[in-house]
Amino acid sequence: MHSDQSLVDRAKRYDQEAFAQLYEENFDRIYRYIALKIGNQMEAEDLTQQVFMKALKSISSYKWQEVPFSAWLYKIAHNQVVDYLRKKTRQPTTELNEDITVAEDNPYKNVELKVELEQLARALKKLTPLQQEVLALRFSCEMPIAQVAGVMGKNEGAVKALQHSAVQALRRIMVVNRGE
Amino acid sequence: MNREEMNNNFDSVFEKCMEDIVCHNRSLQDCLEAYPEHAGELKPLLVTVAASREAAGVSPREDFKARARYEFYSAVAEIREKQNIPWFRHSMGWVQVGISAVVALMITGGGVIAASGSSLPGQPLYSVKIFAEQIQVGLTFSETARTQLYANLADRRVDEIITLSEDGNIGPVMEANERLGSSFAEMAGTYSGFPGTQQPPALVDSFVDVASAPEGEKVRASVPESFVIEDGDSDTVAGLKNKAVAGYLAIVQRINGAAGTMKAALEETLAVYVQGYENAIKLAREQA
Repeated sequence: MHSDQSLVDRAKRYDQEAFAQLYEENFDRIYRYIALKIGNQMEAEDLTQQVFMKALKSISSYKWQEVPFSAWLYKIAHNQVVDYLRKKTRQPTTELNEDITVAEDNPYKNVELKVELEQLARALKKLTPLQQEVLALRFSCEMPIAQVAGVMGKNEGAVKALQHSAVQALRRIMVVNRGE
Repeated sequence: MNREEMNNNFDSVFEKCMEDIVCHNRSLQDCLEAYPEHAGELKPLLVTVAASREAAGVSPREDFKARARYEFYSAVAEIREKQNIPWFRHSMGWVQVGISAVVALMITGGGVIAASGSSLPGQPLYSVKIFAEQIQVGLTFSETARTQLYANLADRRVDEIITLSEDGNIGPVMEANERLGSSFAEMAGTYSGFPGTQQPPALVDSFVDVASAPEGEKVRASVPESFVIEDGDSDTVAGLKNKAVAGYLAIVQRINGAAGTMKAALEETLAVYVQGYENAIKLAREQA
């Protein structure tokens, strides 16, 4: 039996060691995924905690489908982020400064960029939803392409092409916002 | 090769480089050198990848993680209880040890903290240890006891720093230095208007207790003047000074065996440690 599947089966029986392993393996990655999607580290902490609490409540209904358990967690995280952003857009907020400062300290043009999380999150929001998803999964979770493909339900070739176009678009946004 | 094949080929090269940078910490330059024929096209994209990956590399705060972990494991335990699943049906793993440590600590107010005491920064149980320590501080109401506790926690940080430095990994040592500084700052923060000391300590040769010496024998060593026990020092102050000297000598010994950036990091540890203990000793004197 696949070790991940075995672990999840144990977690479904509320085996604490299995839960601990799944929790420790995924907590930081889910946090980074959420932080990148919403651009706010403090609120990402609360949402991450909610994701794991929801996972705990729903684990009994989880069905193994030949994709990593993390894919299920990302789905919960994704829904959590969507809910959060929907609620947030209903509230009057101060518009964030859209300028993205891309500093280049290196004498070689375009060799070194520096962006902050919030700036990256704002730039990502200008991409298509699929582009956002592929980059959020890759950058925040440091996932290999095969796993990203599994989470997104696509083949690897499609994900490769998607991430290429996503990084190109992200680059353009960064450069345009910098006023070049 | 037609255009579609070329595109597919570039997508694969780009993916390989992205994987190397994102998943394997490979440098941008290495990737460009591996594919010189694509370097011109790859460079702006990989610069974007590297910068984005760095920006996305955030971590939740340690104290938040500890609290979230405790709440999560408590929720697991609660569900098990509701379902009447025996707590010890499975082997006693570190999770149970962690939860038991924190829960028992909350009930008893101290003494159980050692259950997670050997974990180091970066290890899963470490945040449980820090959380347990925070609870212990919260449950310590006497100013004298709290000063003693902070000093004990600082010594624990120093033990961690020395162990980490032996592994040669500079990052965790720097992080542990910050935690050490925070521990002393929290201690000073419990007393308003306490003056900090910024000057390097004046050293004197003195006969001091060291762990390696036979019991009852003192060893001559060069230590900060403020750490030398004087007539009239209370038991609390003398105890703090003994601890300060032990930690000071342990750090100095480790500095002598280190080189380069690790040596510099440990020198910073020493500076923070000396300043923190000088504050602790002054506080203990004021309380006496």
